[in-house]
Amino acid sequence: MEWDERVWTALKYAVTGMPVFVRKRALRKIVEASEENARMRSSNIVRAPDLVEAAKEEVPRSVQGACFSALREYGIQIE
Amino acid sequence: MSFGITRECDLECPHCYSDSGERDADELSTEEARQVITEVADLGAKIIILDGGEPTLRDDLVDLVAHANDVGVKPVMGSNGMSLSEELVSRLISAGCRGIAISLDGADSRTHDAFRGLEGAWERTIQGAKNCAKLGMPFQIAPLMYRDNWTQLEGIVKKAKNLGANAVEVFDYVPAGRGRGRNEYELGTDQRKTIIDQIIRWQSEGDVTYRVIALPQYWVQVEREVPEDEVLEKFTRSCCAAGIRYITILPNGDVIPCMVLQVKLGNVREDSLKDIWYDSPVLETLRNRDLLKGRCGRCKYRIPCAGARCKAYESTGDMMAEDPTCWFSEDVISED
Repeated sequence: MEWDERVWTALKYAVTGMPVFVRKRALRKIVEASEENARMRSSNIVRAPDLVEAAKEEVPRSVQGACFSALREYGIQIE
Repeated sequence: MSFGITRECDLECPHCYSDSGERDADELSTEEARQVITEVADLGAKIIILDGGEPTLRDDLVDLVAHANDVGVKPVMGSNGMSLSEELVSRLISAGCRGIAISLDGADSRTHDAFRGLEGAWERTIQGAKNCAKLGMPFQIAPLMYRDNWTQLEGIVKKAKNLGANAVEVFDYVPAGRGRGRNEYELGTDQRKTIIDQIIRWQSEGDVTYRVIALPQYWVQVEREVPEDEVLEKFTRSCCAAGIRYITILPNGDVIPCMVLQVKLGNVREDSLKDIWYDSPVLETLRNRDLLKGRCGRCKYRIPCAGARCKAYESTGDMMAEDPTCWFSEDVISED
C-alpha cells in the first residue's frame, strides 16, 4: 500500500515522540488500520483521514494527545 | 509542562537558566502551586516536570507530587540530586513521582564541582542517583554540554549506565538567564557536530534512550543519516517544542514558552493557564512554522527541527529569527 508522503512523514514524526516501549506495537497497529481505512474507500493510497481515524483507535491513550499534537504540526486536521 | 516550584538552589552554576539562588519573595504558596498543578491537569497534560531552582529545597515538594498524582498528571522532577536521600526518594515514590532527571555536568568531580560552584557536589549527586537506583526510582542523567566539559560526554554516559539511568538527556548550553552574555561557555559548530555524531552512534547501539535539548539539528542529522526502520525503532524525536507541546511556569507564577525561551506569556495569578495556552499571541506565533524567518523559514526541516528558538531570541531578540548556530548548508536545507 502506498502512503501520501506528507502523511507518512507526519506519522513518523508522531511515532518517534512516543516512548520506545510502546511505539513498535503502536506503529504496526496504526499502519494496519490506516491501510485498511484506505482499502475501505477503495484507494491504494493512505491519506490523512485514514491515518487520523486509525490513530484515534490504535494509539494508546497515554500518548494520544502528544500524537495528535505532532500530526497537527504537519497540518493534519483532527476533529 | 514544567513548573519551577522554587528559585532557591544550593548550587551556584554560572549558566543557570533560572538564575537560581535565593528564594523569590513572591514565590507561589502551597495552595497556589496546587492550583497550578490542577490547571495543568485540566489542560490535559500527561506529565508535569517539577523543577526549579532545586525542588527538593521546597518543604511541600512531596505534597505537590502527591497532588499531581491525585489530579491525574504524572509528576516527574528535575534535580541536582544532592538532597535525594533514601528517605526522600522513598517518600517521593510513595507520593507517585515517576522519575527524576539528575543534572551531572562532568565525568569526574573536578569538572562537575568547578562548574556547579560547590566542592563535594559531584559525590552528593552520584549518591542521590545511587539512592534512586537502589529504591527503584527511574532516573535519567542530564548533562549540560559546554566548552569545558564536552569531551567528557562519553564518560558521563558510561557513568549514567553504571548508575542504572534509563536515559541520558543532553542539553546544549544556551546563554540565557544567569548565562546571558556568557557566550564563552558556548560550544562551537564542530563540537556540536561531534556530540551529535556520538549520540547517533550510541543510540544505534541502543541501550539507553538519548534525548537532546536545545540542539534540534540532532534530529535533522538523524533523518539524514539513520535508516528509517532504525529511527522508528530506537530514536527519540528531539526538536524545539517551546510553546507547542511545552510551556514553563516559574516560581512566581510567570509563564514562558520554555525555560530557555524567556518571553513572558502571562502570570497564573492573573490569567488562567488555559487562557494562556489557547489565546497567547506569542504561542500562536511560535506554533506557526510558516512565520520562521531566514534560513529556518525556508528550511525543508522546519517542522521537525524549527531551529532552537531560544538561541534565535537570545541572539537577536526575535524568537522567529533563524537559529544562528545552525550549520546546515543551503543545499541541505533546500534539497528535495
